Amino acid sequence: MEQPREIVLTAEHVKKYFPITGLLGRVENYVKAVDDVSLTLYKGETYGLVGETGCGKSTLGQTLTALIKPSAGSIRYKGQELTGLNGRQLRAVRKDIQMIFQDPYTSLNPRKRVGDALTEAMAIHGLGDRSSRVDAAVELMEKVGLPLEYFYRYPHELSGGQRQRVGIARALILDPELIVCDEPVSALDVSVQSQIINLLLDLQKERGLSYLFISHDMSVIRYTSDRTGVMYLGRLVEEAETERLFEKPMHPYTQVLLSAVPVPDPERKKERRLLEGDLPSPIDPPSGCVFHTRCPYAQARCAQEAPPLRALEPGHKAACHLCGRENA
Amino acid sequence: MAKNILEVQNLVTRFKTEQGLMKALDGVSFHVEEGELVGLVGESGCGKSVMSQSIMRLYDEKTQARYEGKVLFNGRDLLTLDEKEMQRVRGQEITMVFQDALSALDPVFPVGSQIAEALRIHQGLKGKEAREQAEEMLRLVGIPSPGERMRSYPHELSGGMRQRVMIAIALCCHPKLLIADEPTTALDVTIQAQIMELIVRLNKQLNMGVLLITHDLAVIAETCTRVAVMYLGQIVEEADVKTLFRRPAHPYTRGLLRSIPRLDGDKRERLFVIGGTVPLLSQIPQGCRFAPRCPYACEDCGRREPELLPVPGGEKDHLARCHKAADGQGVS
Repeated sequence: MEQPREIVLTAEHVKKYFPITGLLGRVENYVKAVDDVSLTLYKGETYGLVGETGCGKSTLGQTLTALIKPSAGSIRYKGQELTGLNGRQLRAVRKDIQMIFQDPYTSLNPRKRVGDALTEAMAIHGLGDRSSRVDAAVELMEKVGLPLEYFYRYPHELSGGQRQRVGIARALILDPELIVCDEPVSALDVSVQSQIINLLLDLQKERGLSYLFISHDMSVIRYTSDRTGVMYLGRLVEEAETERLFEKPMHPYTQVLLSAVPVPDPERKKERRLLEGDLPSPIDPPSGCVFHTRCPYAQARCAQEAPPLRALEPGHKAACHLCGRENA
Repeated sequence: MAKNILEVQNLVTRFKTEQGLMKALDGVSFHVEEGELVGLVGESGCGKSVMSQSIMRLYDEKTQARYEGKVLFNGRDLLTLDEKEMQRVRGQEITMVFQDALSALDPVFPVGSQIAEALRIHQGLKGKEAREQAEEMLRLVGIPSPGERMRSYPHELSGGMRQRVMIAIALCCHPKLLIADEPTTALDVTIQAQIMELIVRLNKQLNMGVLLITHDLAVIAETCTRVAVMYLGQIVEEADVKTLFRRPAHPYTRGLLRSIPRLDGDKRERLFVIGGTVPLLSQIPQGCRFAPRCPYACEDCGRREPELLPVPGGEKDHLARCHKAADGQGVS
């Protein structure tokens, strides 16, 4: 732990604003999906990104994999700046950064057999010849626990869990360094969910992969991630080692989020803090601290000044004026 | 002892398919007492939603499905009612809340008039009276400034608000039983907590029986008093909530409980995995339906179908569908 760890990906002040066009295509406003997020991902670690619907976690994931261009900020993969790369240069990088999506039903081409879906990625990157691609696909299918006869099956013939295995095999076939997992188990039943989580963790150990693990499910994040960032309305409001974040959440939003998670134990009644109201619109986010409209501790200052994400303890950052003071 | 408001006896629902009749529910029996909050839990395809739709007889009996058994509501068998009588039961005495409130609400009418419509149809209220009562319903389900929200269209409301409106509509006629089919599955955790609190509050406040159908064991643990676990169209275990979580008797329940990642669990431990996958309805295994995936299965399990029996030495009303549990050997 003590030696400096190898950095895989850094994001600095990344913003993604989606324009809203009105009459005659004039830009009238912006949806501030991701607003000034910075984070670092180390080799072999899982960085969990958690937040509720509309907090911008998926947009951030897609921005970091260069699937969509950020409006501002810098994204560096192993020292190489990703923003401003052209198509060909990006393709080379994408070999190293892969994605696993939430919905294995829509993320697979219904007209491609499993085997073709797997070998296609290699063909696009000009890797191997036909037979070595098939070998690689077969090997991976074994690894992710897909019976070999599925090589010639179509996605609709597979169950949700099997499809997600195909999604994982497809992400792995290019031997990437970093995989962005966007809600990889959210669409699955609990018994299948545990299979997929175990598989992802095994593969990580074996190949030294780095994961950016996006999920709305705090329990899944706690189980999978080494470090966790909490997003609210396009911003990172807290970041810490996962154990620490769950034991000692600092930001009021993280505290609420954690207290809302139901616990599968009828004899443990925990104190629940309910949030008032709904998520404000990311088109017109509140002034100052974006959480102040719903925060039980909000003070006058919170409505005026946006709190920066600052380190309050080693490795534990929070964006809150009140954190680190006694009354928070 | 409170009386049973709903008693399902040996309910069988068969679907008409191209391959003939498919049994989606196979001899399900359970009950909900007056003012009780009962959970029904299971994974996709276990038949938990078929159960709720069958209680309400929402499948067309001519073209879609065939029911057998009894669904006693207040002592009256719903399966023998004609369509007109059934229509009175739906919405008046038993109501439902679905997972997807956006598709359950009419997009072209303000929510206020949708609630008022329900009041007009079921309670015979008129114009102003209905509107005032509708506003009252919105207040009951905790919607802020209900007067203004009356004029909102469904798309203008957030997911949590829409689900509250759905609950308001469901409660219009002071039903004795509310069937909530995955009411919070599409919602975020903070909103889920709000909605579940609302359902629990209404359950107590109105002394209304609630049948909560969900895949989420944690939600069950926090709200229900009694739980039934379903697997492949059958109830495999039933118990009060504490017993089920503390001493599950059926290997499937055990597996489910051990496979959920928990906030308070040991992170270093691998998640438990139930081997295999849920078989198709057309390929229901012989004997115990869970046997092919069960780590404790013996030869007998593959031959003889177990019945839902009291667990020897267990709590009162703790039932399990497992030979091993019934033998008193238990599984551990």
